[in-house]
Amino acid sequence: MTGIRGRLLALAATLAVTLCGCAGLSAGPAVPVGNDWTTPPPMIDGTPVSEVAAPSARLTADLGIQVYWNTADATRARQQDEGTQIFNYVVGLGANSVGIDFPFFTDGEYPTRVYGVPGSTPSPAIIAMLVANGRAHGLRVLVRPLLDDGNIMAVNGDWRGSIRPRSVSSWFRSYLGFLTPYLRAAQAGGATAFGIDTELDSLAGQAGDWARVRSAAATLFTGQLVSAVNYGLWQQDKPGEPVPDAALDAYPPLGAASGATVPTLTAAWVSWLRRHRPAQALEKTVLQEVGISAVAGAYAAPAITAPDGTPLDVTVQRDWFAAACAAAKTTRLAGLYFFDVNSSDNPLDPVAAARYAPGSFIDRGDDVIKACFGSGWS
Amino acid sequence: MVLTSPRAAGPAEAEPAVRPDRAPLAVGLVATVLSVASTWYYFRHQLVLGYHDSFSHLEISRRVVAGLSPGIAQLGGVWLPVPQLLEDLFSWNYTLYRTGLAGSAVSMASFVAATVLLYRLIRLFTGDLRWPAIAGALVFAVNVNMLYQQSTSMDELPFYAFTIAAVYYLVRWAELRKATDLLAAGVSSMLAMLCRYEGWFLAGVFLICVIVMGRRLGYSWRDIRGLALITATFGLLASAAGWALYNYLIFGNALNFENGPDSSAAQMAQRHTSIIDGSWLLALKGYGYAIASDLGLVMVALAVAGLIVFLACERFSARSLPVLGLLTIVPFYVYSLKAGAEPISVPQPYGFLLNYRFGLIAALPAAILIGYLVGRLPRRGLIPAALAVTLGLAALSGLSLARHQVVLATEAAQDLSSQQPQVQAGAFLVQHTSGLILLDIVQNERVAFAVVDRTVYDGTKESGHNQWTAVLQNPGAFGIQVIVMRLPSSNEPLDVVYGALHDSPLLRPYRLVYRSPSYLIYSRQPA
Repeated sequence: MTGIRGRLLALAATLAVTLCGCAGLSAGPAVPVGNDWTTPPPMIDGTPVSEVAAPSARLTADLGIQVYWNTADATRARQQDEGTQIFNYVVGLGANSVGIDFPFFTDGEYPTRVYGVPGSTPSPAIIAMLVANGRAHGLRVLVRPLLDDGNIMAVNGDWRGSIRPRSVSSWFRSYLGFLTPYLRAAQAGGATAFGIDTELDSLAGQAGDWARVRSAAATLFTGQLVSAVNYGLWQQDKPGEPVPDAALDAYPPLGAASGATVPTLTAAWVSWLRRHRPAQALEKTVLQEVGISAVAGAYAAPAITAPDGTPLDVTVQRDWFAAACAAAKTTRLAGLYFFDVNSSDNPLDPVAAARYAPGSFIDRGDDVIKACFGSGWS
Repeated sequence: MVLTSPRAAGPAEAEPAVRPDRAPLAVGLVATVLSVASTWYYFRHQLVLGYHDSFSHLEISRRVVAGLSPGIAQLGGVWLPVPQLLEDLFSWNYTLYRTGLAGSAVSMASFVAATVLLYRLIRLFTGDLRWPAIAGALVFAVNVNMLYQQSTSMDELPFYAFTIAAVYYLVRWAELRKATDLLAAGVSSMLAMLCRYEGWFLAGVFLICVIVMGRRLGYSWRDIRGLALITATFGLLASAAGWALYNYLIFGNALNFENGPDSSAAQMAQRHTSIIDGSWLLALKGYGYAIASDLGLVMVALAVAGLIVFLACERFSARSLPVLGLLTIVPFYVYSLKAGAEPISVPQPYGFLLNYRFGLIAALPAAILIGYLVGRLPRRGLIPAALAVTLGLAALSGLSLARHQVVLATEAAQDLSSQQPQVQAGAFLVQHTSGLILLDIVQNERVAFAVVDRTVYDGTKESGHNQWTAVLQNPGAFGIQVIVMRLPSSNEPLDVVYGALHDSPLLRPYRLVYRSPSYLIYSRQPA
């Protein structure tokens, strides 16, 4: 019996030693490795929040992604989740800034008023929520109302930058009325900048009206009031933007051949930028949109959105982004935003990403963006 | 019916020892000192109330004896009633309720009782040897996670105490063959069933044990039927039928606790992601980590060694079956996790700890088996082995405490952190409001905790009638002074008050006085 008992004890001891050798577990009671925090990670409605790294947050340059909010018809909770997910993606790219673009409307080529459309235009409360969400990620947040030109284009192929209001002052009053709750929402959410004029190029010369809008906006929003002109107006080198040093939505037709290398494209970008602004002005200029469809031949007209289903040529987009980034660093621009991610996109789903429109950079040019944001900025 | 064994009495039936056994008293005293010290420690660290559920238990107990419509119906239909009823002995006192000590007192008493019962249980296996029983009992008592859990108002400790009592009386029945022990086991099982739903599974297991034990003890099938009837009646059916009847009378649905709106099944259905997701491997991993984290690998290894020796020496004897039955709780948990009946977290970088307390129950069979293992050592090595095991595991627990590695305290602290929006809204209610408060209690327990006595919720009755729906339709008419709404989020059910009153003209007499990302609080404006 003693022999059996001895063998049993030896077996038990062997088992004990084996068990104690299990990786990651402790001899005594213990918390699994890495799970011993008692201050929670930042969360929004149960979803963990990625935060901008301190070195990136300290940069003077705005390194951002434009997010087009196309899910205003979803529930508030759903939109909050989408915001958290998209902003996590933005932070993951190394950005320190995000633009929240959302559509508003005007009644045609010769408009009289400005309005939001429920289900398409997010409410001010939603914008405030999204801004707060972005700020919780440590991002600088640019609120950017974007005049939808679907009904403007319908007749003569005009666009937001070519509208001719029947009464300019009346249209501006309507515009300010539309902006007012969004300026308040941006202020409430803690936005850092607000785009009071995005590509409203045909109205650029209305200095008095813009001054009134800007003055009224400044009483509601204490962040930076910005304006962006499209590349067409910008390269005409005319004065007359509602704020100095207007940002640029940069889709320059550089005339590059389809197979152009990144150095060739970079040289073309640098040349184009320097041709139209002196170095001192460029240092205050932000490229508020850098985008291109990932399709062959896109260099000829980067602003043209290739239709869904066009065969992709990801190299086109990747090289364009790399060149724009290098040019921005060379000319010491104040920052750049890549355009764009939709709020309906799921950056975590590569299968879905493969079906996104040719202009999307998810799983295409986004690693170039990450590399761009990763170094060389001050 | 013959309730004594036809076989000759065994050695264990010998006359009681002449000298009274003072060891249980000593074990009880040690457990009491440990219990008080631990509760004091966690009280000072503000972790007596940490788990979200610890607030729920206390609130239920408070509503039974105080508030707007006290009564037995306030026990609700989801949490089993015994822990809250025991807490009622203390929670009538607002200070004991508010501090959480009303719940701690119940858990502490249960802890001491469980420790003493473990001593007595192990003594049934070790005969005249006291040190193995002392070692086994103290292995349980010095576990640092057990000490945390017994400081809280959670329902684990009462469940453990009644479960150990059931096992003790079953083993005692096998040893002494007195029917009163079987009756006591049945009553203990009944009370365990009314603490936690795992008790329902164990009650079924114990019933099977009684049948098999009856055969092993030589009873006839006719007698076994009678014995099983006693066990089934007191140990299984009384609780199950009683709870179903209560649910039927209060909620009109006998299975409300199983399929009602706030049941565990409903809560699991609302989870958007299942951590285990039907995987046996993940379930095993999750529960394995929980046990190893709660007990430590040395204790697990000693218990495994004890199990081997136990199986080899007892050879499925009648008295061994309740202990083996108790062990089935481990595969039961693994199955429940796999089946998605309960969630548990699997370690991951910066992950939340979730329900690691489920692994703590393994300390019960582990303590028995370690005591048994020590009891099988040669006599001359008994005392050193008992001391080595007890002091060794106590040292590991001390080390865990010193290094802030108490997994259940960490889990509760994480839970408490996630309740901050509720804590802040609750603090506002205490500091800035008076009068009746309308709120949906589900997922808002922490908001209501300190103001539960003036809270109108879905269980509030007046003249025997539930007023909830009527109050939601016109809060002003019912004298509601404060309205609390939780804003919608994707991982929580819609707040009923928000659903009924948000953007409603009924809010016109009220003014928004508190706003946070999670809560809106309205206060009635003076006329």
